[in-house]
Amino acid sequence: MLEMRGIKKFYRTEQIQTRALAGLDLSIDEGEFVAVTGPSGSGKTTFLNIAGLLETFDEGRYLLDGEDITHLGDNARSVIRNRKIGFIFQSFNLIPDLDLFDNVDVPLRYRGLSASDRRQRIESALERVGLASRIRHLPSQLSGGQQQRVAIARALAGEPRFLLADEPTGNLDSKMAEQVMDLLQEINQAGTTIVMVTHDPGLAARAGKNIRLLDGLIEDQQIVIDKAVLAS
Amino acid sequence: MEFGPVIRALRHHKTGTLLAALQIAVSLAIIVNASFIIKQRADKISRPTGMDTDNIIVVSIRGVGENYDTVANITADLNLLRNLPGVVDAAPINQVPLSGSGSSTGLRTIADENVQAISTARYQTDEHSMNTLGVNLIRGRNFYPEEIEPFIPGKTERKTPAVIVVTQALADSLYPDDDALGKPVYWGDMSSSTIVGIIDHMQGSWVSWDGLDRNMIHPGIQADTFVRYIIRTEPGERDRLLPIIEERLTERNRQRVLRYIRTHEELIQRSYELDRVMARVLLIIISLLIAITALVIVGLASYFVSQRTRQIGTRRALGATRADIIRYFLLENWLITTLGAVAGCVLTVLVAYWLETSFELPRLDWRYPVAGVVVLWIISQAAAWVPAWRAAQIPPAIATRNV
Repeated sequence: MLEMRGIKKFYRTEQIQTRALAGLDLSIDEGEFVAVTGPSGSGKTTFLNIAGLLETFDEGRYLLDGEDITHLGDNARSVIRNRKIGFIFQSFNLIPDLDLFDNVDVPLRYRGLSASDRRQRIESALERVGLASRIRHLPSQLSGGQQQRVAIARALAGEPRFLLADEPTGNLDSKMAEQVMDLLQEINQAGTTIVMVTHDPGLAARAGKNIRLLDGLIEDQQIVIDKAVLAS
Repeated sequence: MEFGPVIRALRHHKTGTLLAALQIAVSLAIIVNASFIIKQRADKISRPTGMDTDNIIVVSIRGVGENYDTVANITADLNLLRNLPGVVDAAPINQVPLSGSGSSTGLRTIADENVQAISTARYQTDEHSMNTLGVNLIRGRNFYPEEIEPFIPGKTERKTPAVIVVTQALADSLYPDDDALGKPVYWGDMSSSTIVGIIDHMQGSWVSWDGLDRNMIHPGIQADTFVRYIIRTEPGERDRLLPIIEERLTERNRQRVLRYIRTHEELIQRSYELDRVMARVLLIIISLLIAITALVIVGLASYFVSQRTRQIGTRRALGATRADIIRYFLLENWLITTLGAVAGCVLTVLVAYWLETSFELPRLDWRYPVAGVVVLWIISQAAAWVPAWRAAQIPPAIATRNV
């Protein structure tokens, strides 16, 4: 599903060059739920940006869903982001001037879907996150947890091949965080590949695979075994 | 196109949107009406004169002294002028067409004071005048030399001319349903003249008078100490002859003052000076308003972009191409402009109606508001282009930055 080989990323200013990723090798299979952890400055966000085609990289090769995106131009990257990747951001990144319907509609419009198809997808996605009744509400009229669920609905409506979640519970209290994590697990169980960047070891433990980054490289990679499976 | 979401998003920025739309509306109303007025002035200035104004020189002379023989001096001056190489013809004239000053009278077709007289400018001159002015005598005849009599104020009695030549416009006003040639006209004292010739077109003295095209020429020489000559030159000879004529007339008799020698073109320009100044002022106002409108649009669009940096990054992350971002901001700007344009059209019509009723301006041509809206659309889209382009340069990675 996602394969990175020798990915290097440098940030340069006039005086200094900072290495964010130092030759990262990584493979994620279809249907996996991967948590990427690591201390600040370890390269988590850079990894997420490159994986989500939000940033380019300086060296290496990146295959996404079998397609080499290493040398793709800006427009082609936009199209892949739109069709194959769903994003869930820590700050939700909903558009405050648009109601839930229009917020979920944003990526669908860029795909050029028909109005009826979009409507069906929007209603279905909002139904799935339990917010169908608030379709004409503004984000400011919702709680943080509800806003993140809208963001998840926005990501789901496009039926992406995989979801990239950047600290999805970072701005939520523990109860709401649990609800969001439950939802992400449910989505994963339905077949969507999820890559989640998090600081929280407790949340990371709910993913099927943990990747720990340090200084731009993988320090550790573990398969998390479900306690229920262990007990059985 | 994202009409629905853009409109719904704009509802949350009512103040900025409505202020910009109001500014656009006021600008449109002023620009359209000012453009219409400028066009009116330009049309007024560029009306065909019916004369060879590019090649005419006007001279004004005042004789000095009790023994100054006006008739002899006029005869000698005209003889000198008509024989100058490069001069087509010359004539004495009481007033110069399009100069802003002149003499008028009222003519009737019936000798009855109760009948409304048709007002007309009046030119007293000789048989060389039509050739000198370059007017086109389409029917009838010119004056005969024997019909030209000098009128010396204080010495000879002013007589009603037996014959007159009129412009077609005056002929049509006098005899709207009949051929004016050979017909009589009656002056204020009910004395009469016969129309012996018709000129197709010639403008009179006062450029803002609605009877500018109604003119009458009658034979005679105003033999006062104060005389005017019109001199027509060969094409391209006017400027060369100007100092020569001045020198020759001054040399011929130094017992007089040459008040001025000017081109007819200069006199005409002076007559239209107010119109030109008004057109220039309005043009400056239009330019300023266009600049202000463009600045308002740039300012609002830049504000929207700066306020939505993360939102733009999010849209890019969700799949918007740079072109999608540019399109969004241009569409948003187009909607604000269109809102302003709709209100502006209503305001334009109201202002036009006020100008029409208060200042007797012609009714506003509907094509002007249409053209104004199109121009505003183009200007606003051009003005919004740079902020929109800047927005498109915001990287999608902004979306993952947590402030």
